[in-house]
Order: sequence, then C-alpha cells, then structure tokens
Amino acid sequence: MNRRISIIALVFFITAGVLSAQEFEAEELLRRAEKILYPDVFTMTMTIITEKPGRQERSMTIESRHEAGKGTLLEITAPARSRGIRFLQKDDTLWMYNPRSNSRRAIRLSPRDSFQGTLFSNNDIGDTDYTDNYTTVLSGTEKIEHPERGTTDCYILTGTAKNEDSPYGKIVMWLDKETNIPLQEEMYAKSGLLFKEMVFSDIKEIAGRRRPTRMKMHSMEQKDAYSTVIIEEMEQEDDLPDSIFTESSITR
Amino acid sequence: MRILFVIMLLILTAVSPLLSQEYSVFGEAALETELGLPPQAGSTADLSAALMLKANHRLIFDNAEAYAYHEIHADAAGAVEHFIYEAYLLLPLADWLELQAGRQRVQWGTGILFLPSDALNPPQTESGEKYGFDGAAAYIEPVPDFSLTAAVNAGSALKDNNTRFWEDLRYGMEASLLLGTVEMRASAVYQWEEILRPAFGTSVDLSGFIINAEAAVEFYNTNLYPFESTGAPFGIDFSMPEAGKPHFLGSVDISKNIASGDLTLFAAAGYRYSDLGYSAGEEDLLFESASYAGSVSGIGSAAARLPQYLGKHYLSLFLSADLYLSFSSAHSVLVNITDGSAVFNHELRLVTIPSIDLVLAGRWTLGGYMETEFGSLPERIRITAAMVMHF
Repeated sequence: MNRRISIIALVFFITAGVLSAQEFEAEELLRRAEKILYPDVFTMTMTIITEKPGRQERSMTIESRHEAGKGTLLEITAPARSRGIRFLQKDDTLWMYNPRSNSRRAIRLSPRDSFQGTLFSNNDIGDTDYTDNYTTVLSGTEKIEHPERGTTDCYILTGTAKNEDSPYGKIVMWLDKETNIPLQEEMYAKSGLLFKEMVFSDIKEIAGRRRPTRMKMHSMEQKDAYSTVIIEEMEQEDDLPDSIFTESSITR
Repeated sequence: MRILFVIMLLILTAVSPLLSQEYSVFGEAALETELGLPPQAGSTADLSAALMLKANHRLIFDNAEAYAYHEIHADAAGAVEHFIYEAYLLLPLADWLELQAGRQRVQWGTGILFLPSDALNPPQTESGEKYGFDGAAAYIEPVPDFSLTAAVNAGSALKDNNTRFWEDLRYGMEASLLLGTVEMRASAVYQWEEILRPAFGTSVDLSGFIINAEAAVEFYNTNLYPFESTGAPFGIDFSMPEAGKPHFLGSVDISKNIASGDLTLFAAAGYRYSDLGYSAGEEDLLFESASYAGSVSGIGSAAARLPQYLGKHYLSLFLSADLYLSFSSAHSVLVNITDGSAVFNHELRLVTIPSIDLVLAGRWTLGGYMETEFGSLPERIRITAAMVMHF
C-alpha cells in the first residue's frame, strides 16, 4: 500500500516537474519572441496601412517611444488631419490628446478599443508585453507555410490570459524553431472565438538584430479587411526620460 | 506683453531651422462664414466671413524645448487679430524634473466635462477658449506613476505699477498617483483673498467605461465677498459671516468609446454641483442688476464673458461619431439646471479630398434673454460653414 502511494507521489511530482519545465521553456520562448519583436527601450517610426473591400487604401504614420515598465508614447505624424494626436499607454491605462479639440486636455480611453479605425486595438499598438499578460505552454510543433519563408518548422505557444485586463482571452503564436522569430499569431476573444490573425514578415536587421518589420493583421469580424504595420525605422535606446511618459507630456 | 510674445514667436520661427534639432508645425487653415441671430426680436442678424489660421509649433533643442499654439484671424473688413493661446519654454533639468515657463495650460484634475478642481488654468467657456495662463510650472516624477506639479499663475500680477503683485499670484500644487487602472489626483489652489480650494479627483476604467469624479472645497467665497479686503492672514477672515463655511463643489462624468470597423463613437455625460453658484432666486436678482446686464450686452457678437458656471447644478452631454476619413459629427449640450437654460452645439464634418474638410456647425440656446445664463449669450443661433485645410 505504502509502495503504491510512493509510486503515485513520484509520478505526480515527475509530471508536475515536467509540466513546470515545459511552462518555463514556453515562457522563455515567449520572452525571446517578445525581445525579437521589440527591444526593451526603443524609438520607432511605423506606418499602418488599412485595406478594406470597396474602400480606398489608407495609411497612417506614427512615431513611437517605448520603455518597458514605463509606458509607450505614440504620436500620429500623418495624415495631416490627425497630425499631433498623441496616445500614452501605461500598463492598462490609456490617455489620448487631440490638439484640435477645444479642451486641450488629455482624456482617458479604454485600451481595448480599435486604434484609429484600423484592425489593431490600442493595446496591439501600445502594449508590447506578452509575458506580463499570458501564461504560456508549449503546445506542440508544426510545419507551416509562410508567405515569405515557405515551409517552416515552428514551435506553437499557447498563452492564456493571466487576468481580466489581458488584451485577449488566448493567443497562439508560431515561432521559427531555428531562430525563434514569430511568424504567425492568432488572437482569441475571451469567449474563445478566433478574433484576429497576424502574419509577421519582412525579416531584416533593424535595431541591432533580425526582426520582422511587417505585421499583417486580419480580423474575423471584417471579411477581406487587413491592417499592416510596417516598421520604417527603429532605434534601440539605453534609457528614455521618465518625463516622456506623463500626462503633461502628451499635451505638448 | 502680447507684442513681446509675437516678436518671440517670429524670432523662434525664423531662426528655428538653424538652431533646432527638430522643428515641426501642424494646424489648420480655414475659410469660414458665420451667421448669428441675436436673442432679442428686432435686432439685426450678423453675417461675417473670415480667414483663420491655427498652428502648433514645436522646437526641440538638446537642452530645451519651445512650444507655441496661436491663431490668426482676418475678417472680411480687413481687421486682423492674433491670439496666442500658448507659448512656453520647457527645460528638462533632470530625468525626473522639468520646468516650464511662459503662457501654458497645465493638465489639472481628472474630469472630462467638468473640472471643479481646476482653479489654476483660465476657465474654458462653452465657446472653447484655449488660453493658457502666464506663469511657471515644475513637473516632478520621483518614482514611476507618481508625479507632482507645482505652478504659479502670474497672469493677474503682470500689470503696470502693481506694487503688491504677490497678492495677485495664484499658486497650485497637485499630486497624481496611478494604481493599476485607478488614477488619483489631490490638489490645492491658493490666491490671496481670492481662493483656497483643496480638491481630490479620481478616474477608473470599469469594463471600458471611464468614470471620473472630482470633489473640491472652497474656503473663500468671492461671490459673497467680491470686493472685500479682509487683511486677515492668508486673506481669509474666518470671523466674517459664512466666510469659514466650506463650499462644496463636485462633479462626476462617465464616458465610453466604441469602435467597430470604420466607425468610432464617443459618448460622455456629466453632472456638476457648485455650492458657490447662485440659486434661481439669486440669479434673478443678478439679472435684474443693470450693471450686470450692461456687462453682458456690451460684449456684442463676441463670446459672452458670463461668470463660469453661474448656477448650482449643471448637466452636460457629448456625443461624437467618426466614420474614419469620411464623415464625422459631434453634438453637445450644457444645461444650467438651476435656471433651465441650455446651449447646444453641433458640428458635421465631411472629408472631401485628403487634408480638406467641409464643416457645418451650429450653436443655439434655450432660455430667456437677460433672465438666464445661456439665454443671455449674445446670439440665440449661430451657424458656421467652413472649409478647413489641415497641414
């Protein structure tokens, strides 16, 4: 009897150990993917192009400054009618300032809303942290057909929301086994429905390492509609002044 | 003073490409025509046309930054006016400390529609004045998510031969803390014999609904003692009848942003209470006063200079719909519940070609002329049509 209990306990601890090791490996892979996508501290210029059926393609240029743990400051620089609109995201809090509004004040918005009519949410653009938001497991490997790299061996990471404030209920990410570069991602709503799909491409040397510089998002809610983020410039920085990430700074 | 600002602005603009690391300008130019119908029968309607230029300038140097926001307004008769809303210099002295001097607005309080805590910035009237105050401010962020703002509004002190200028300085101090999705701000504004207003504000995100609330207590009632000079320490003589009685001001607003496809909707509703405001009976007495009536009617077609928030209870609603790069509309109403008057604003904006909008805007009021706050505005109906070019 005692022997049986010992075997059961041993199996339990081994299983738990394997699971936590897998979880650790998955977390580590996600952390690496996060670092590949964005450095901890950076300044960046990006263009978001949105294509919708029957509508003229439109583009928006944004300058972004980010420091992990401090926040993200975004400013629209084109088109002219949106120039000067600024967003400040700190964790789960988002402020917007529109210099054309009469109030000349920053107002709070919800980070989950769509970003300026694109398929990206405010969180997709302003929050670059995955590990803070999702508990990750390595759910397998798969060969995928990537539009640029062809058939590629990938790890599949599945992240479930750590809390109510996480942008999505679940994410699934495909990482190149060799380089750990993210190639594909699915975002699921809290209800479990597939909500958005994103393909990472145009991998090139930028801000000190090879990173995807094009992210094409497709929303299941809008047939044949796509928004693509193209990173035009990115500089890795050592540090950005704290004063950038304050409400007073976005109203300037 | 204004000439100095203009000269400073022109010099900065002229030398900017040579000296600055980065210079940027954005804004809008508009050609507009406006029709104003006065509140009283028999008066003539006012039709005007104007060319307008609004610009935001930024100059970023290695160790300093300069900002300006101004408007040039030329009417059909050839009269040109220049309004400098903001023009200030920013000195980042350390990673955690910035100093700002010049004409500026300081982010104060948490509200969207009402800001009872903000007695530092010049009041923003319903016509949307955007003037900053002339003074200095220091921004301190000792640790992330906690910041302090200290400011001096010297606008009233900058007069010729003002030997007791310190009595006209208005001081403000605000501490701001962000805890998760809860923002809290505690502040106080003080001016000798004018105001002492400690306040607290908070802002929370509840499942996408942003709720802002502010509460303030005013210890000096300029409505009760408009011309008194008490000579008491700090300008507050608590032995005066009701002078020590705290007057409560409070507001709450709720807003929601909904985005679906190309359509973005933003809605906000707010309520404000001010114990400093006049009751309906007191308002009647005020409007019967010849001097007050004269001060209002003498303004002509310009924005009325009514005391901000004359009554005790206010309600405000705002709704905007934006069909990205196609069409937008915004509607608002501000109601003085005490006297039953209201002012409505509407704007329709059609995006025709890139960077050019066609705008049709209207403002109308409800309430008796010279009997209510918004009924006393110089125009009962104002319609504006404009072509706006963004740059």
